[in-house]
Amino acid sequence: MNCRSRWKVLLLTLAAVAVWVTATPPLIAQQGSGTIRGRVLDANSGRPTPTAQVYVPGTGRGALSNPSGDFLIQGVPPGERVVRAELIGYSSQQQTVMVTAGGTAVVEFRLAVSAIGLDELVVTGVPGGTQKRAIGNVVTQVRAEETLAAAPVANLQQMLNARAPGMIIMPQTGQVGASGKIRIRGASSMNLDNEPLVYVDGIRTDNSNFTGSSQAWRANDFNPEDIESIEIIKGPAASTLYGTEAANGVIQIITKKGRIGTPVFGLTAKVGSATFANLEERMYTNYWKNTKTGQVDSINLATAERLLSEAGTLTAKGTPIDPLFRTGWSQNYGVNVSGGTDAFRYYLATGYDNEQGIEPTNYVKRFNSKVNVTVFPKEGWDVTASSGWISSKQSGSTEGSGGGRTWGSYFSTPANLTENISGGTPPRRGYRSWTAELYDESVSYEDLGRFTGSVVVNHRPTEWLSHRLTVGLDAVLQRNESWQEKSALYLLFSPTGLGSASSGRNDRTMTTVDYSATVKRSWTDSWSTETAGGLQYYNRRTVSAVASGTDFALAGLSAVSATATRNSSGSTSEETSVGVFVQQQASWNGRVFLTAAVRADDHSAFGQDFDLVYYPKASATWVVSEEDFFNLPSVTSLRLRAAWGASGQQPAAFAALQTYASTIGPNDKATVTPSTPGNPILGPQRASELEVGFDAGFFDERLALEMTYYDTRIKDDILTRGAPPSQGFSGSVSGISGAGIQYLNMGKSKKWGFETLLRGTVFSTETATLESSLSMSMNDSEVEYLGGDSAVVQSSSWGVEHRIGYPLGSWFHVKVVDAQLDAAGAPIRTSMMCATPDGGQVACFTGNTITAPRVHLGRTIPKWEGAFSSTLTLFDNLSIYGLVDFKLGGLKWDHNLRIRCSLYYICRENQYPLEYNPVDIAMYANSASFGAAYIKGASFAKLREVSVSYTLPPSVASRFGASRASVSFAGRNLMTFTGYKGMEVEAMFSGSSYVMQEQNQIPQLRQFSFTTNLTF
Amino acid sequence: MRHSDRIKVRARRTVTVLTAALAGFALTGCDFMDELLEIETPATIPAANLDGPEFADMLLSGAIGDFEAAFSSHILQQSLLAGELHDGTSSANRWMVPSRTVMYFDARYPEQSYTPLSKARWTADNTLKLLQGWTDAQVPSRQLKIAQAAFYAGYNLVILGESYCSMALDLSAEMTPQAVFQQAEARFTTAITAAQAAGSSGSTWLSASYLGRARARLNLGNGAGAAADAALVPVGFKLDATHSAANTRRYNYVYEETRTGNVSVTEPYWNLTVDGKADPRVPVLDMKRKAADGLTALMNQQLFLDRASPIPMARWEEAQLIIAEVQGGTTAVNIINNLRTRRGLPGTYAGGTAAQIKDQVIAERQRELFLDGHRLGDLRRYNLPFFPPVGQVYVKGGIYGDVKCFPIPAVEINANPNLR
Repeated sequence: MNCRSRWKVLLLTLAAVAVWVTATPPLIAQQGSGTIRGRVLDANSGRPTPTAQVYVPGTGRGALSNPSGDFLIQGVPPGERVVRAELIGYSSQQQTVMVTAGGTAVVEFRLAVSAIGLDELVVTGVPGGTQKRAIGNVVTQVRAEETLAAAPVANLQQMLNARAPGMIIMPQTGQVGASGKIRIRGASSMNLDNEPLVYVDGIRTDNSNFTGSSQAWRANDFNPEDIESIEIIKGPAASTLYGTEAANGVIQIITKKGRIGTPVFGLTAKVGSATFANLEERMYTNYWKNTKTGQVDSINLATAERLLSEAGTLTAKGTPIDPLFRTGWSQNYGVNVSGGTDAFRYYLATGYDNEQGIEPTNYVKRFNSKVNVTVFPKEGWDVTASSGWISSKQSGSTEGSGGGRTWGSYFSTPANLTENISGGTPPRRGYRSWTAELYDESVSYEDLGRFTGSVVVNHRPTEWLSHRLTVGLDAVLQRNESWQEKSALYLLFSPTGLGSASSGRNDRTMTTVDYSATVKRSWTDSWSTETAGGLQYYNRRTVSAVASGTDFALAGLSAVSATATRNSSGSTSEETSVGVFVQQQASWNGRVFLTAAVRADDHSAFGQDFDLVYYPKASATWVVSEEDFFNLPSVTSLRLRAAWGASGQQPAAFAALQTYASTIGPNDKATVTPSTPGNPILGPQRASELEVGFDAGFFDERLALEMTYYDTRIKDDILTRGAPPSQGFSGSVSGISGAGIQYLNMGKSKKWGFETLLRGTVFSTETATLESSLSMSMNDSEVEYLGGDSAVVQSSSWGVEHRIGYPLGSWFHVKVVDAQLDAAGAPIRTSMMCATPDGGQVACFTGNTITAPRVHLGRTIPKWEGAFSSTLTLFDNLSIYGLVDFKLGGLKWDHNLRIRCSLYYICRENQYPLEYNPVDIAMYANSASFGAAYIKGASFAKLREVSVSYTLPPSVASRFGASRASVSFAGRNLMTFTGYKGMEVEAMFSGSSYVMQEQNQIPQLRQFSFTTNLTF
Repeated sequence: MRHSDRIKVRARRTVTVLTAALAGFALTGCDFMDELLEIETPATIPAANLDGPEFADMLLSGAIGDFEAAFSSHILQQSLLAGELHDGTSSANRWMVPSRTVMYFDARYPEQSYTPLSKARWTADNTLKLLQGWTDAQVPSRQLKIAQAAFYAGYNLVILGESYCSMALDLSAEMTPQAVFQQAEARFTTAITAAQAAGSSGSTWLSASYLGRARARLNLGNGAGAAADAALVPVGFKLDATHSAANTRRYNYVYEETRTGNVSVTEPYWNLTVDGKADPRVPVLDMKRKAADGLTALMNQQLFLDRASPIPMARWEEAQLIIAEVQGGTTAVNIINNLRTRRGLPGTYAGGTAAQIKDQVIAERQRELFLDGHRLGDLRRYNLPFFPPVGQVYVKGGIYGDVKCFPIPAVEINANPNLR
């Protein structure tokens, strides 16, 4: 790669900035050390407020208040000192005290509730920790401890769901361990990944989704109990400093750290259950005209299997028949200890999680441990080392196109009760393909070992200068194993099946090096500035290898090495990005903040003829309620904010290079074949975003309102398409990602929307408090340019296209609007009329060929999402909580309907067509040619979470030796409100960005759990 | 020194070190910054690294390897469209070709046929162009290699022309099959010239190229030229596409799809006989069960019995049938009987009118060249009715359509500026 001289200019600029800021640094005098102690109380109630952060700015000295509100800060340099107290949900407060060498200063804070949290510290998207009031964009914070205490959440994704306006999580299956697609402010790219970045304590971690057989989002590996809070920034306006790759937003997980004080032990134990709610009512009843009797028979396989089970019937293996789906049980145990001194703080935790799905082959077993240690080696220095180790075994059941119990039961047929339509014996109890016990013989699981560790060194040589170095590693070592033994039963149903095995590894290693320095200067009493600069290096390396084989000699063998015919494949890819940034912020009286920054990035995936990419940003925020002139009735706080910024998304690792791949050729000798077509001028997709909004507190901060509008412009969207075969570098090559794919910067689109969050205290009396929260967001998008084309087809068979003038990823398919049936109920082709884009009608067929155009049917990603939650607290120790979330405006393809009615003809409509709408019958009769038959509105609302929690009186807790004890009973996925007629409105089969379709997935499970928490 | 002074000194020292580090980086560390972006590419070779004559053998084996990786899956697609095979799967995306409702946006036939064949054509032509630009001193046995590269380029072009309604070469505008056959004829002529120049080592490629040119000329309507070339093919000549069980890329997919119950031989090829004697040219075994879809009776072809079974690309029997077709009459009758007796069948064909003899030649081609990748071209060239007939119910949904050739697919249309 050629040397890029612009690096020189950039680095020299940084150096010049550094020289400038050293010109006349204001210094403060510091000598010796003393102690500050005191209390933090709620200004309203006068009750102690634990976990408040109290610190002496510029000294690195601080402490957290304990359950009595007390704190103690030692080692404070003597002199007049500012002491500051901060607590989430309260306005921060600072006081000045005189500290003497060897003496103790006493101070008391009375913190007032702050609904909009202007003084809360944010660490995501900014060079260092910054108060929310100084940031021009919205940052959503999820407080993990608070969420876990109230809501039944088992993983990070459940913790995030419906708690960050603008973030949509679309689950695909109800299997335990599986995840959903995440979209923040809709989709940003037509072809690239639309998943947000995931950081843990400042280092980039593996954000891959739908990996392995478990279809997991790897961020779900992290134990929610170890999380302090989560910060979400939603688009380029906020994520500029993360540079290329950050256009989809950033989720940062901040893990728990030690607190000064004696060791505090925490114990958590949770047991739970998961079921397929209303199984027999929801299970499809399927129909078949008996070829012997001429009668129409029907079957509901859930009922049929239950009856056989109750009758004690045996399977062909001689084992008892079980009900179709079981109750999955779960257990979760965790223990942690934290504490610390002035010089040393620690948080140590370990946990074990064992979740069963409703199928015997679906489970998650996970062990995790976390060690966070902070040392203060000398004045002005602190070093935090964080490390987490996760070891898990996850198994996903076969479903979707792979078959499985869902396939066998959703598409059951009475034909398989008495005979076997595929030949062979015996009958299959009505299952479509294999019986359940045979699917259970397929083994597929992933073993995961994951280390996530970082070292953060903070150095504050003076009050005005601080700098930080973060070095971290996230290593995900994943082993995927699967096999199907050669069993008598297997051969019985599948005479060609000789058994198979596959063993593979899929390892991802992410390395982060992040350095930043910040210089603060006060120019006048009112004006001060903050100058920051930094450099980041990210590297991602992926190594995969698979060995597979078929044909075992005997039953009982399951290793690849025991197969007769074997294959192997593998791939390695690596991506590196390097970037630098400079940011200048000016503040006036601590209530007006102006910020400007620029970041320059280079990436290994850019083309050799592509130079650096620059991402600028600017923002302004004004806490107008702190101005003297401000006087709006009932409005107690108001902040206005605006931000504009750019960010990007990189192409795939080798997308820019034209390459050959090594492969096997004649005589089984190594040779070469064209692989990636390359593009020397390939650069990143670029997104710029304007975000404006306000945060307001009303009625003495009892009510908070957050409103944000954004407008994002995306250009140079990297469109992918198959390279033209006539030019050679086309078609897939085993083990080479991106082979035969062209990457071109030619898409242009825009998206816009708003997010709103209203929360507050509805009423509060001495015995009861009701707090509620309502969030809602809208996202819309429009394709503007496609390199001269009017549409880019994402999936022809499903009918998903990016078409100019429509939202990204919209449904386009042929739709029948009128049809007639003959006397036997068969559609008359010549009568079939289809919709046209201009609202007219046209004959669907010309001869036997469908010539009707595809018409716009709707969007794939919901336009609206939101949630309403409430917590009623009685007598300070009993809490009743509920959350309803909703997603509106999206459509999905019900492939269960298509398979039943257009492939296997087992719908009631197929047997009694004259009783139904001829339009549906005509569409069903033509395979998948008329996709409009299956693309249905998928708006819904769900009663997602309900819980009742009780905190035992201290006198009872103390009987266990505990300082605090609580129990909680909770339910999840309890009710669904939707017009969608398919099995599960949230189920999705495909990992594709836009193809939303359901095909024999396990629905979202109804879960109940009982949790006990003890603190010692 | 006072504490405040120490802090002052420490701060200045920190900033000085940082400034010096940045300036040092800027002045001398440019290469270092770029080195940070260097990545490992252990599985790929930059295309520019393969331009030299020292890679002639590698490029040629790559071109042959690309063809052999494409050929058997292409045969499957053409056999499904031409009615030699039924689809036996439950995968709806596989049904468009066998139900002859295939359209340009369908994904499977481009993946299985158009893309790999076009790629193999390009690598053969690219290798040919490079070989022609190098000298005999740079590349040992250059003429022999030119003959091979030109033959494979020509062969790819012939089967593209026979199967596709239209196509593109090197980002060209849409080309008719006739234009492609002309290009094929030119490649075979190049191959013949080079094979002759190569001497005895070029004999295989000389014979194969004569037969290839005969096939191209037959498609171009140049019967006399075709027969003249076919007559130069020696008795018993055969050139195979090789396969192997070593790697999925090398599999014979006609066998592999048979093994997995994904395809089944169609009714017209069941139990074929000549005068009551089973015809060994069309071996079919009744598996007495259903294919993977649970609907289609599983009748397995027995021509290719393992993953490594070679598939004939060019053989003397085809050359003889070309001569029979062109010359007709007694010549054709004799060829038919000769080919039958060589396979242990009675040589009792007595002939008839010219039209009857031609029909018999076509029928003999149908059997002799069963699953060799000829049937679709024959159906089109002779304008024969397809099996099953248009309008018959396709058991897995819809009815049989009237598509008789593969359309130029969306993957080419979307990315080729001369087709938009």
